[in-house]
Amino acid sequence: MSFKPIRLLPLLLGLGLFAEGVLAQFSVVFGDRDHLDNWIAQGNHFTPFNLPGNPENAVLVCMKDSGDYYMVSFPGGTGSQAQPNVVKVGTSLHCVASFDFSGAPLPYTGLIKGLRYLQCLADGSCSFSFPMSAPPLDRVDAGMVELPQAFAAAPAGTAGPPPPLLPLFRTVPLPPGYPPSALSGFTAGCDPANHVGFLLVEHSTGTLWAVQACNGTRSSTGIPVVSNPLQVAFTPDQSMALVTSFDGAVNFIDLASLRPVATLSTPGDHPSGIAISSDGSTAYVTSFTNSGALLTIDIASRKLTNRLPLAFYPQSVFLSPDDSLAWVTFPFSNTVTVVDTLTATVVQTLSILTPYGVAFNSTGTRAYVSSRQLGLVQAIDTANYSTIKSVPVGAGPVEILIAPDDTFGVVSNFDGSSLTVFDLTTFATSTVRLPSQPLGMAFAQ
Amino acid sequence: MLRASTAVVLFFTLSLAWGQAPAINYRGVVNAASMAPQGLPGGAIAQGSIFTISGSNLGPAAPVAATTFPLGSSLGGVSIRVFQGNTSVNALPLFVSSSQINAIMPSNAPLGMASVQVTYNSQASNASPVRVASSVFGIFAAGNTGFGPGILQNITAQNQPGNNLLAPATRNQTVTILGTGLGPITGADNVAPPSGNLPTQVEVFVGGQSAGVKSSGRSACCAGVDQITFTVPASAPLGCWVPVIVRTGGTTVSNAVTMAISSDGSPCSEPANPLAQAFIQGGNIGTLMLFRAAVHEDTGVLAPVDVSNDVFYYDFAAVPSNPFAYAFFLSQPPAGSCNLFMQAGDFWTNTTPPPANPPARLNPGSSFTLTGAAGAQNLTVDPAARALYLGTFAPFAPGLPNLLTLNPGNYTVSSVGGAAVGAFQAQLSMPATFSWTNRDQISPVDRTKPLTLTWTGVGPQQSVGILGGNVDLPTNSSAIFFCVAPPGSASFTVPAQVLNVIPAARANALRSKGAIYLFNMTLDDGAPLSVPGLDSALAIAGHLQGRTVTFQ
Repeated sequence: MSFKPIRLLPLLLGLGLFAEGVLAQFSVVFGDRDHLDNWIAQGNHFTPFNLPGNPENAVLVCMKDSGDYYMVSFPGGTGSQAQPNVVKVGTSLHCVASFDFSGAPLPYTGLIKGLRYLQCLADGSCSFSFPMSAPPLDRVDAGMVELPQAFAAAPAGTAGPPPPLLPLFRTVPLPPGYPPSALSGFTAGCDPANHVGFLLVEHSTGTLWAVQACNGTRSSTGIPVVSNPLQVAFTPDQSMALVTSFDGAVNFIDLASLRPVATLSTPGDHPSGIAISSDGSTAYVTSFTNSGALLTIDIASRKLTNRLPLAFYPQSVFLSPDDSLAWVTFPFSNTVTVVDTLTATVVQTLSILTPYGVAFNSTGTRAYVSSRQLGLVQAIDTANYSTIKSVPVGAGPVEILIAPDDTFGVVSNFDGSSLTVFDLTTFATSTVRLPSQPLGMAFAQ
Repeated sequence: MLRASTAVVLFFTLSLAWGQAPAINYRGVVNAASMAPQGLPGGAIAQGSIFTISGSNLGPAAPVAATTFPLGSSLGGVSIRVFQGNTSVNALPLFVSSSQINAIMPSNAPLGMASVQVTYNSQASNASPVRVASSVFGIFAAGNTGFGPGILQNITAQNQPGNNLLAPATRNQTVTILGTGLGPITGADNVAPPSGNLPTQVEVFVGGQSAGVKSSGRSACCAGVDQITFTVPASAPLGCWVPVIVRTGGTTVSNAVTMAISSDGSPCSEPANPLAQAFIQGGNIGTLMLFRAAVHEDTGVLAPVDVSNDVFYYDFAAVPSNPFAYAFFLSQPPAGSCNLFMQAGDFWTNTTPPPANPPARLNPGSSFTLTGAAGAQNLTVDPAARALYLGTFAPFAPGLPNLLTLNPGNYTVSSVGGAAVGAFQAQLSMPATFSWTNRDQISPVDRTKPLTLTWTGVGPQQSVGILGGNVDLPTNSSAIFFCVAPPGSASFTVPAQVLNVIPAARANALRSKGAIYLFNMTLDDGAPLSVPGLDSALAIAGHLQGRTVTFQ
């Protein structure tokens, strides 16, 4: 007899408990309300229809606990016939999702923020609703969605039709110069009361730009930091941002005033990557030099507390969810070094060609490392550092994000100007093109 | 020529073996008895206790065990260092192999966060973090999983037989628990253990009842092993799976194991569990269930969410005879008591290890028919799965159709049978749901105080099951309690010693998964079912209600 809730409960929970709650905290959403209005007005069916206005897209991601997700994208284009693309990964036909559809462009002034619900039934039909209660969104829209007959995702690594083009939802104008080199997002995402949603690091001018996540408004003045800034990280309480400057400094930025409040000089070291412990006490910084090192900084005292010599040119550092391990990428020596943070000693060195980004699932049992040259994301079992799967993604994958409910990951393919979503269970992938090369990414609530 | 080739091969093989440094797995150091993950309150390693290291190349391919005193600091070429800053002590290896080491944490090991490092054949492993405490007790379990039937001995005038389903203890009988982690000793750890009690305060709870502790100290049998001798309370519940937990120092709770208790020492019985005897004695058994699950989520979401689902559950299995048989739901605790589970993984998403002795599934076929007042519904199921969703309703999403089907009333489940299960019909009566009357008042939960849950609408003969706990995602740790309220009761109080094991919620709500569920689908709520090919089967219909909570 094997009736045990240990098996049963996940099924129960998958119908609406944790997966949903997690999802309610964030989304990967691009889009605007106009398109949805038209879509709904046309009978709530996924049938070809005209997308008026500017070429903007909506990508709606629905997930569940078992890793299934549906991604619906609306190819844009003024007056074009738009055939929505629906991608389904996985086998389950139940899908519950709620997420924030933020980012409503003008003329909508109200914040679009509400729960969405998508349910796909055994006959292949899906229902989809948009409860929007805040004025002027004073009505409830709901309808049935007819999924196209052929929407199975191509297995990972197989050739398929060119991915759909996903125009940028919004671009944030920046002063002329090099493109921003890093982006870090608040977990709070689109919050009208919060004037900072993202920080863009402009390497060439030594400037940070704060961007409001709701409407894309950039701060009127930049935040000056020590020259050649590279990466930024927020403290968990989101009171402070720490920014590495290649020219020998770590900048402490007060996020309430958007002003630098302190600078820690690192003579002889060139700060590059940065990660902050979940208790906000410690920052780990890589020194991108030929005598590379991992620097440990006590954030309260703003002092350097340890310098662990490593191989040459460590670029970025990523902390495991329990903060016990720091994974350091060495793109020049094609390795990832894992450091025990308690003893500041090396635990393991992995051989991965041109590693760039690292991300973990919520429990830290899996690590995902992008290999830029190979165009892969490697899924690694952290118990013993064995590779579970090498997932082909787009060209030149760099940064990786993992959904908080551990259903999917997103990798930005810099060289291929695309984003790839990969399922964490099946490793099936779906790629959308972007009009420019993506680098930094952040989930907006 | 042949000899030369062989030599080369041997040399090459040896070189490879020699060249691979030992590696301790991530989170690979745990109490050898409880297996509690480090992220839980009971996940520390006590001074003087036995701990387990898992990894690769940790020691010789052929395992080596220490057999004589004094124990050395090296065994089979393996030594273990425990260090904290400039303080370093050597653990005492008891068993070494390539993938696992069991060793004694020295009584003078530094308290707090420390590191463990293995050296094998002069090559050092990575340092692995460990939290060292003065006492954290773990009870050995028969399945080496940290839960299920424990290693206990029934003390009689003649001998000390092991407690199991066929050899239970009786009330008022003296019983000894074997475990590890009572705390340090003043003498050397590498010699025969000292006799007598250790100073650590020890409490034993049997089926939730406080038991009188007669002694607690090192076992004479083995280094690092502790034994606690207690008297089974006169009020202890009878049953095959009565939970036993140990609290040390008034604060730290062990893993829970189970023991069998009967009135006269004869094989245990579970009158309220129709499947128990077949499960213990071996046979083919099955469960059918119709239930509605309603969950309320208000933690870590933008707005409260309610979702209800109707579920058809089917499970058929062949189980072997086993005096230590244990399965999560079949081995439910006696009414009025709680069991505990401390495991690595996310319990709610099924990443925890399976219970001991997983039975072999039987194929019931893929076609069922559910007939109720609304008519007949064909159910095509995956025989390898266990559940089929019948419908959903999510009132938080206006406009969504209500697809629930299991409204109160009578239902018939018909099956044409499968490869191993014959055709049958089951009659089930879906009751009206019960009301969890204090659902909205219990969160946050203070883990230091008892938690009372109240409900109405449950029949006088019905039991209510309670499942709750928290998952600490960053440390991949789960602590779960499973309680059964007495039939007909309208409330149940989860004891503080049960809540003590639950990890506190993180400030970031997305990093914890705290929840409590109530359900009137315990085994005594079911009706026997006759199914060709099965020795015993049960049909249950009921409701499950759940909500997210924050454990503080």
